[in-house]
Amino acid sequence: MLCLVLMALMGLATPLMAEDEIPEVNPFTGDAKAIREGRSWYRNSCSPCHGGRADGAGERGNGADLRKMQLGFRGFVQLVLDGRQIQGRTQVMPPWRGALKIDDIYRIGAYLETVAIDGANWKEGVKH
Amino acid sequence: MNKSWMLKAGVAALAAAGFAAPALAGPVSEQMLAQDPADSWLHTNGNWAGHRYSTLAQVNTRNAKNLKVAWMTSVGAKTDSQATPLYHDGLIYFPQDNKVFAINADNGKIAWRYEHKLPEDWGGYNVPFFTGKHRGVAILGEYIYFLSNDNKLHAIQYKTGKGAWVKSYEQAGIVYPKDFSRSGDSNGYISTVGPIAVKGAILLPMNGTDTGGLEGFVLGVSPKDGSLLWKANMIPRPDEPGGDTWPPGSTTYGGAGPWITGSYDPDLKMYFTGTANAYEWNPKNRGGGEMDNVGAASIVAVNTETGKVQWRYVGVPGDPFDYDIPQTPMVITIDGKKTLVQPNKTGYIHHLDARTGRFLKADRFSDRINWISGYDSNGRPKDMLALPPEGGDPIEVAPGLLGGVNMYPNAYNPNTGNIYLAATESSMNYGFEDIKVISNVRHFGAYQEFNFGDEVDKAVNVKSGKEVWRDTQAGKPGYAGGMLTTAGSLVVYTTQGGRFTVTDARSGERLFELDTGIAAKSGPITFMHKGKQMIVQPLGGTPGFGRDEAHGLEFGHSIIAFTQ
Repeated sequence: MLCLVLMALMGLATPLMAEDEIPEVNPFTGDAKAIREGRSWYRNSCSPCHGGRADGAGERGNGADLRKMQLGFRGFVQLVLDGRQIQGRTQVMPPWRGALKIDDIYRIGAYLETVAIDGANWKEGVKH
Repeated sequence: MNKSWMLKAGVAALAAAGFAAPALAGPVSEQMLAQDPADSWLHTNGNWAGHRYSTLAQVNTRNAKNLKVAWMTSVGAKTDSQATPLYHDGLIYFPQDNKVFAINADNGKIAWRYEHKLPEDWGGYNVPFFTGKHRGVAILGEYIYFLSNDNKLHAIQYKTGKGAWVKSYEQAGIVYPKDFSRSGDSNGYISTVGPIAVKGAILLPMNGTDTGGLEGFVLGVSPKDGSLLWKANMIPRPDEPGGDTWPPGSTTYGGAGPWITGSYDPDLKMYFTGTANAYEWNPKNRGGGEMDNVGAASIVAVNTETGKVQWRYVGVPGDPFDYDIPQTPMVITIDGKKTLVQPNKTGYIHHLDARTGRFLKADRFSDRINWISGYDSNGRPKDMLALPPEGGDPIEVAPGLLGGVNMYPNAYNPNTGNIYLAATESSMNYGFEDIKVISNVRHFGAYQEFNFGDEVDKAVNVKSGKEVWRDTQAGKPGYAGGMLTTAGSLVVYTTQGGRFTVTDARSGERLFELDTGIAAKSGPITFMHKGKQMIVQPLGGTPGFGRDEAHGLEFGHSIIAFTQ
């Protein structure tokens, strides 16, 4: 684990990282280039439902308010990969496994960290 | 007093009493489809001209205060209820979640249910949002015609709910969108708009715009078996007028799908439809906003006997703002001229010559518009906002891409001369990004941050363009579900916040209201059932666009019938 954290800090995360090896913290946190790319992916793929401000005000229905993400980094990645059903509703968070590359999901997470507000816990992995 | 005048006066008196047409039961003829709504409600938009005007007057300005809930029911909706129902022969027909329900007008009980299952590999860009939504069905002969989300046309016996046949149009290129994690070709069409029955054909609007940009079509099919009669392209071919307004190769994913039921004129033999935005939203692959992209964000007239496009008018040239102008163009005779009147996202009400498509005028109805300063005499926007650079800061655009009006239907009352708008005030911060691709699905390459304003339900005189009255829902964003107007001089609508409202069509005075507690996303209808005029309002969906704090409501669903 320490090795992964060090790699992350050094910006050496590999794009081929297996999904069951999701690091505890986002290897792209604070990486300006990755954040810029993550923002572009976010605005193309996520903002239709979650809104340009990531506050859930999307044209395509009300996605979660991602500024208040409380899943931690690993939980976020896992949810993006697997999607989420909403009981009694047709609209779902679709699974993005096989659609988005894992590193692009990390980059989206790195962007979302920059718009987080009180209550979000993106940095939770750092404590371990 | 001559006999002819007496006859007319007698018919007018009967009409005022709610007996405009005999109580016609049984299969629906083309002649019945040609009438304005009275006992039955046979078209999504009420009549072919798209007026949503009923000739009934049993419920009127004097007695609307006596309305009562006759019954309430639910079809267990799992997403927004956007359909305007039909009513005929004792049953109300309502599509939801790839099912069609027939509801007994006596008591709200479900008389029959028809269900369609979507393909196992169904999925793709924005697809979860669209799934389960429908904006209407058609009726002709013995059949309800229903378009499932995967673009299959279902003919369903109207009394029994028994399916007669199902027709796919995949051989005509109308494929459905696929899960893009498993398919290398995930683009497809999604049918959320309903069909319309016209003389000799059922018309099927085909839209694949915001699921990857496949170009839009209207299909004309046989009412007998659904076989394809013609396929009309919304985007012009290179040898058609406007064909040179697209860079070579840019039309395959150019969008321009029709996604709201249009109008029809039997004399001109034309179907009129608005179309969606050009695709991608970021215009860099289609002329960068400098080329008109005719056919997208346009009004298109199609000859319903041949499928030949008669004319196209582009309301937002090069549409860089995802405005699209899909709203129903209403056919209204003004000063003896058949005129198309389309309130649309731009914040203007466009008037075109129905026969030629010639621009006549554009009346502003939104309070705040900054994307242009107006339209010139040729119908071209003046002083359009400069576009933001890709990857740069967004700019504020008013109205926002949700539009001055959106999919929520408007209405026209020939007695008052007013059109009634389910309008809102809003803007957006809008910016461009590079265009991402998953599978082969091109994404928007653009994004928006909403700046919500108030819902404003309003009456505008169609001839003068002047506002007559407004009903502002202060602090409540969104749109009313849709407008209905009647010969009883009423306007009926339900606010986004769920307030069922009956107003005086001339003054806007509220005559009856009921807080239903459920957001409205569809238009009400009215009809005669066993001698009593009923008004039916479907409700359901998530209030607002993702931010429901202003309304204090959760997702819900109900269908409510009112009578005296």
